[in-house]
Amino acid sequence: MRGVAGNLSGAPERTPSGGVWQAARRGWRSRWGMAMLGYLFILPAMALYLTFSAYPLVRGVMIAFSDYRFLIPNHQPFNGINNFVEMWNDRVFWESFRRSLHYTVIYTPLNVGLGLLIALLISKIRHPLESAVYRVIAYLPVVLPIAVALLLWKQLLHPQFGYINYFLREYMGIARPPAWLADPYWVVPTMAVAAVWKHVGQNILLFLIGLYNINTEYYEAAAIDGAGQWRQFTDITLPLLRPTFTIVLVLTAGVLGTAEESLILFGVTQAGPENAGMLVGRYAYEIAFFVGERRWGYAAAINLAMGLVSMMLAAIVFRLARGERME
Amino acid sequence: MTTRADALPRPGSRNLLVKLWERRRGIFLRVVLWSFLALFLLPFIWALSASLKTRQELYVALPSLITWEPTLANYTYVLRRMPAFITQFTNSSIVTTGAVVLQVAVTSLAGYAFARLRFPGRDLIFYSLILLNFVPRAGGLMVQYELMSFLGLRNNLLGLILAFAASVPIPIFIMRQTFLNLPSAFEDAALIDGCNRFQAFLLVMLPMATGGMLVVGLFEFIRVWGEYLFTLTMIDYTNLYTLGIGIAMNFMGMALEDGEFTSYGAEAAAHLLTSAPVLLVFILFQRMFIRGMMEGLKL
Repeated sequence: MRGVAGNLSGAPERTPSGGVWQAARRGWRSRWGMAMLGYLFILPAMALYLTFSAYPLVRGVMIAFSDYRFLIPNHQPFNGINNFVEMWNDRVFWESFRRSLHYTVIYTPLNVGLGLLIALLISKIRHPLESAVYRVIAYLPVVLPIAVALLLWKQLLHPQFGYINYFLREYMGIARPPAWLADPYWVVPTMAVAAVWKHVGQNILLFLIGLYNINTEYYEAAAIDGAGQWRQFTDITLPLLRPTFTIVLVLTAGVLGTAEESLILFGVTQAGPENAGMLVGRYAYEIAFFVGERRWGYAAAINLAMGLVSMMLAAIVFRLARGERME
Repeated sequence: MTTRADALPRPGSRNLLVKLWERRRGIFLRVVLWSFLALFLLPFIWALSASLKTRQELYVALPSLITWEPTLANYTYVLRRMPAFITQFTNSSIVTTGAVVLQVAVTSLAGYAFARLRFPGRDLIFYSLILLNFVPRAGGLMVQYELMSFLGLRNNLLGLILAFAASVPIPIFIMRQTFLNLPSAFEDAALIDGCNRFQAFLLVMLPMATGGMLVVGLFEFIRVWGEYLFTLTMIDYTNLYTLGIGIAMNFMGMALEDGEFTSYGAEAAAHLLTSAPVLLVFILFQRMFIRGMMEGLKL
């Protein structure tokens, strides 16, 4: 991507009148004043950021290495890597981790693949108003409140009364469609697909911006040289979309599964049938807020480990996407 | 009888064929596209039809997307008979307005400073802001919970406003970019005419940066209006619920689990009323969203 170039200098220095000393003093004063002014301007934003974002970051890493139990007063002794050792031996953790991987393996390819496919289709529409309508429709789910989106899908996916199964029974001739969110086998795929529905609009728009930025002359030249649609796609579109791919992949890379989705779909008492919707995020959230003494230290350790794994994945993806040759 | 088509010169007829082929491809393209878009729209259509149905129609075991006797009864039920909904709507409005105004204000100031003023450590601070954004948050909601309790901001709408407004790095980036793209000549003129820096910022530069402010404000509006997990963790009292979490609670246990689907219609109406502000704002300003993302891509 383009670097943050541009005018890094402030306003040009005003030419001071008067003697050299006076000029020097004024220069010093204005520079000092300018510095103070600068700090004053960023103060409100920085105060908010330091309090609500930077401090929790540091504190979070600290409690990940302690046996912090929230409901026991003043109980947060440092315990080294004990939390991580416990995590390594925690069967429930590994189960939820496996579910998160399952979720990711469905979510990420669908999110990127469908995003690209639909963006390609929309980019073929020449009429500006028509393509604007399609863009709006594709992005609608992204702006929808997450609870509304998931609860509407929950209604649609209801095994008996939902429209999806009605459609499958009546029009597709499937006598016994899956019970979706009521069947442990289908819970994770269903959650992943619902999340794709919610978020794919973001990728569609990112890919569209990438596609619109490709100079049409390349295609014209290729067409004159006799390149077909597929050749044009593999030899022009894909290479020139590389920066967009980098961004999309870095944004979606990671082991996914926040607490949010299963909390909305299944409520707080249970993570779906047989806890089949218990992804890592939900597991950490339950430890932190629902279970026993509320073991914040352990929950923070899980969050930290998952965050680092995701960050490493993003870094690998970034290296792969950047490292390969353009040809 | 000779037709006119026979009289047409050859190249012309070939053009006609090409045109036909092109048109067929266009139709094929639209069929594929619309089958995807139908999936995007399905929950919206479903909600709309369910919200317009009468109780009798909802009792029919076979769901259908078409309703023959549309009624607004579900909407009047939600708006008149569900005081919780009105409370939540008000709370959401307060939190969203507060967060948007505060965030736009502080990030405009900061963005201006990072773009135009010179002070020691400026670029270091700016790039740390951006980089820290990618570091995982181990503390998650726990540290936030602790912090908000300590500040007395749990179960407090002001707490939500401050915390939501505090996600400043990307907005600062957008505002900085906006100010960098403005010509400095106006500002210099204002300074020479005797404005001080703050006046130059407020009276000359800020009015020209409304585009960037709008982008920042829109994304914040969308994000805050439907926020779920943070609000759920910070708010215990139902009278402080926002729509983001309230919508999941109002009909909980009441709707489908019991096979009781009379509340279906009211629930659908509540969903649509909850989404209406974000959908409206998005459709009105959809160009701005694309612009905002293009700005963000420069990162």
